[in-house]
Amino acid sequence: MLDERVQRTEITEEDWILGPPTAPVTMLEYGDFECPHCAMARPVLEGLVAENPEMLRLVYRHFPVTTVHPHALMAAEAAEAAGAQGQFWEMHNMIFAHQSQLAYDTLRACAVAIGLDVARFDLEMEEHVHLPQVRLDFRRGVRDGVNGTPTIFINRLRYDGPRDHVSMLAAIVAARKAAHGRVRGAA
Amino acid sequence: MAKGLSPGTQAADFTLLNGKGQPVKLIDYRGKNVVLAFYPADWSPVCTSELALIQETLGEIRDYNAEVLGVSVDGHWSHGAWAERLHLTFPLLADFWPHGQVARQYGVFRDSDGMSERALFFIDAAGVIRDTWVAENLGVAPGLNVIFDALERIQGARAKETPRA
Repeated sequence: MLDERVQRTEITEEDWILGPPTAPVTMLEYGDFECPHCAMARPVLEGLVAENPEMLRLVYRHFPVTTVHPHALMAAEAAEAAGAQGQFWEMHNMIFAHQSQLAYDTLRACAVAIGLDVARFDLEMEEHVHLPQVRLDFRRGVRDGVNGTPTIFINRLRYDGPRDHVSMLAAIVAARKAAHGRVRGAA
Repeated sequence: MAKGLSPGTQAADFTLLNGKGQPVKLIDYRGKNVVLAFYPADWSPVCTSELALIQETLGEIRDYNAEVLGVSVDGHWSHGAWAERLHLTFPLLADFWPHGQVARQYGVFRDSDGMSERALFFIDAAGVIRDTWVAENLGVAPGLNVIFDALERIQGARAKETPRA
């Protein structure tokens, strides 16, 4: 049996990736925009990427837990709609910053604030154009073994430790050391 | 690793109250696969996260002819209130008195603190335990892959590649 804590899906060009493709360490996050633990993790994860630009990249996938977070799915669709206009991470940040009030009006105001074509945004939200992508992320999360939000993988191994800067940096450094000397692309 | 009843053994039958105070018997689920999910405590953060994820994927779990039964040593009043808070639609069963008796039957009672381990038992339609999972660390919930891998082994793969609207 496969190790149950190993990420099975591949990172693809379609994923939302912050950081260089050559980074030896990939951190994959499954997140929910209405989840307070995800909001707390965000500055830690993005800080790590900013401080370690050669070493680390962050991949974000949607895992909305709709029964407890009624706005999470719509927020994920909104981030994808912004992504379609080249502004996924800007929207991602705006949504987390307004986490406690994620009604459509707020999402739309976020879209306006980052300068999206709002007519297009409204239309794509109305028609749920990006829902299949969000569903795909969710299914990949099930397959990879999400066990809560956020679930984070560091070079394919699920990280269940504390989500503070020091602990995570130690895990990232350890992952880089483990990757060193291995064939590039195997990780 | 060898904690709890082993795969291949008959699942011990039990009758426990659900969150509405009604008796639920395991044997009444014959003909269905059952995910028997022991968790330490209602209202605790990791259990909240674990059961919310199970609820979120309940439709997919049922596609494997399976039902989920949550079990903890909390009383049925607590179960009822917590299920309502989390919008859980599968039963939570109260292994409250005799305290932890079902957890003991399944070998996952913790004498150290009076709770159960975080554990999953996958029981097939004939009532045989086919797979088990027991958390090494009580603070870490099972990945959803544990549940779906076990159900696939019991029931065979489902082609569920069409996204649900």
